[in-house]
Amino acid sequence: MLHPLKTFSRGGIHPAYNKFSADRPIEYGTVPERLLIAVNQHIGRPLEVLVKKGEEVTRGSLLAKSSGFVSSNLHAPAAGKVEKITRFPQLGGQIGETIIIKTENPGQSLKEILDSETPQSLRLDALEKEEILKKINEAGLVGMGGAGFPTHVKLSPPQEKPIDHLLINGAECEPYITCDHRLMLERSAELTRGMLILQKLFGGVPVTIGIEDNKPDAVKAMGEALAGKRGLSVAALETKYPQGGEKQLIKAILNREVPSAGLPMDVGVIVQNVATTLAVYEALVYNRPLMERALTVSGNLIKNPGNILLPIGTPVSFIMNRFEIDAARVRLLLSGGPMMGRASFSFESPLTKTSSALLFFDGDYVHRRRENPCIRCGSCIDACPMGLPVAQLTESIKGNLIAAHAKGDIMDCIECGSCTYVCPADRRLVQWMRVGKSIIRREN
Amino acid sequence: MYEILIPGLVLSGFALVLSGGLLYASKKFYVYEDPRIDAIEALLPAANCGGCGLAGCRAFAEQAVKKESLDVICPVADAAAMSAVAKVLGIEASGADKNVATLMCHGTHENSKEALEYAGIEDCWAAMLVTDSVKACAFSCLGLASCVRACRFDAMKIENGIVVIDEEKCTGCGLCVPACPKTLLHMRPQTSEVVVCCFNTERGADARKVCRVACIGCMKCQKTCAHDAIHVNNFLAAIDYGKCTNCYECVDVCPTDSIQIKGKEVYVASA
Repeated sequence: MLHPLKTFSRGGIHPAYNKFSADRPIEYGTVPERLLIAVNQHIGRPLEVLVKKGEEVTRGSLLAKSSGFVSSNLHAPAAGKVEKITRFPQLGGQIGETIIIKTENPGQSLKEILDSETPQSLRLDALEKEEILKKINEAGLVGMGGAGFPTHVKLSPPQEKPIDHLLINGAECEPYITCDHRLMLERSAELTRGMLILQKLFGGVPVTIGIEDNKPDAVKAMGEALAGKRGLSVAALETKYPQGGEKQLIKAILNREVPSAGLPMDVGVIVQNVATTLAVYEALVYNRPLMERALTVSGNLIKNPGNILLPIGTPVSFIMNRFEIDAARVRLLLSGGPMMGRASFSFESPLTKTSSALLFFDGDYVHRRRENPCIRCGSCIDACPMGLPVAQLTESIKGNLIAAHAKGDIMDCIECGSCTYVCPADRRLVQWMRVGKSIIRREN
Repeated sequence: MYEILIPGLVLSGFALVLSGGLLYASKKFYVYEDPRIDAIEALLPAANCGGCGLAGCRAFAEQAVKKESLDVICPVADAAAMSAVAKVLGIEASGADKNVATLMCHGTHENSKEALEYAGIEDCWAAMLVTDSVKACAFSCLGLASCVRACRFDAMKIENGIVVIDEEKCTGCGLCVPACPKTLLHMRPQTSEVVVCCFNTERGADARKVCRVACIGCMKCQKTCAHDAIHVNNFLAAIDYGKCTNCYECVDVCPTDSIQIKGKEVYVASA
């Protein structure tokens, strides 16, 4: 190849991408009868609930307030009445505090709601940095790629860590998921404005959007949208999982390596997801808190997979009705992609700010294999994008004998699942790594 | 022909000089150690389990001799062994009851239905990273045997989805208590036989929905108890073992059978 595509240097895998919904435009969803809004959808301090049972709420009213800096507000996506506040199973298996709202106008299209909200004129050069951050904080933005880290915190690095490059993560390396792909195609102009806002925040540093080359139309659309914008560029990346991992993306585009136990800001970079960047745009131009998100609904059980915009708090069962999924046939419900997504056990669990996909699989597709002994083949070590000796680390975790020098290695695991994917002995390597991380966190 | 005696004499000479050195060193650097420490250590179970809170059986013996008391009791040794230890120290052994580990749950497969099919690592802590519960009740025993692996005395096993504790084999060392991520294992005096086998603090209706034998916080036991030994807090009954007299009144009135009698089970060794 004359111009090899950019990629990260070690490890990585090529799973079947199965992007069945790549050519399906994002539909507008409707408001369900009940919204179940999980109180804690972010990483950080738990929220303080402001509403009580029986209270009337309108679209955009604050349901729960952040209780510290690393925290994120929560707003009502539709008008209604608080029915109760209870513990409820969430996507991802936890059981958490949930505000249940009986909506006023069930069946109302989101298009109708969004069209009624008018943008305000925004002059970028007149915007103060503090004002942008304040609006992002108030809008309750979190990283929508899956981690749920409060965006305003990520965008406020300490003084001693100067930022010289912003990256927008449009890699979307997880199989099945196509919602970011569609956002880049359909809303490239707004995304560009979002990138300009972020650029303004850091005094005009270059902003690059990284897109895997299995989405040539998105690379083209973003290239056209960014043409002539100073400092904004597109980087086409090799299609390899986990290209969209923060550290991998930085390595691929800028050839900088985030140090062990470090953050991207240690190498002068901040990475934001495509959907988050769009939410930044909406927070500033529409004064709109994060109340709905685009997600992919796919899996082998669905005849017509698609992408849909839905209010946060929509229960899975509502989506199953819309996509005509037979609950009796679902053997596995995944929230997120098949590599890093979490299995869920309740069809009533609601969408959160971080649900990028819902995948439905039946028994033909789910194989339950026994965990076999390690055969010392080293495939996991070759596949690890962080270059970790996975086989040795997991054995030490299993024996509860984590050597002091291995703790840093274990904490560096990004839980991408490449090792488990390649393991011929079907070992639950990522889960062991997560056990190790939890042991180390408990010790500290 | 006497040459053969020369090496013999030389070696004997070396032996004499060196043994003299050893004799001198043993007198010079002699540390007095109470012989009772060895005597006590010999009486202890030598499990080195740390159940007493000390580093092992030797540490226990050293502390007992140093303090000339048995304020720390070896939870593993039986009463006879402890009175022998007390005899070495020249004191009376206190008559503390043996404690046993108790599971505050009866969420067997029949009582609390499986909420999902768990296919991950067979370990409670690992499962807790993926889901808050594998059963309908989020407070229930996961049945993935983290405590069984922590037990050094083969006193625990998983049966029908929950942990079953053999109170004869249980030594009360308490190693299993921190091994439970759901904090369902508690120590109770073996002579107290009444146990509330539930840890669900949800409202009665919600608790009943997820488990047939859940404590629903109906207060019947609290009203019935003549000894002020059972109290309902947060929709969950709890027994004060200092006051419980094993009258079984609460067991009889409990509408969901979540209060059970323990320690009367018959254990049959599997062949």
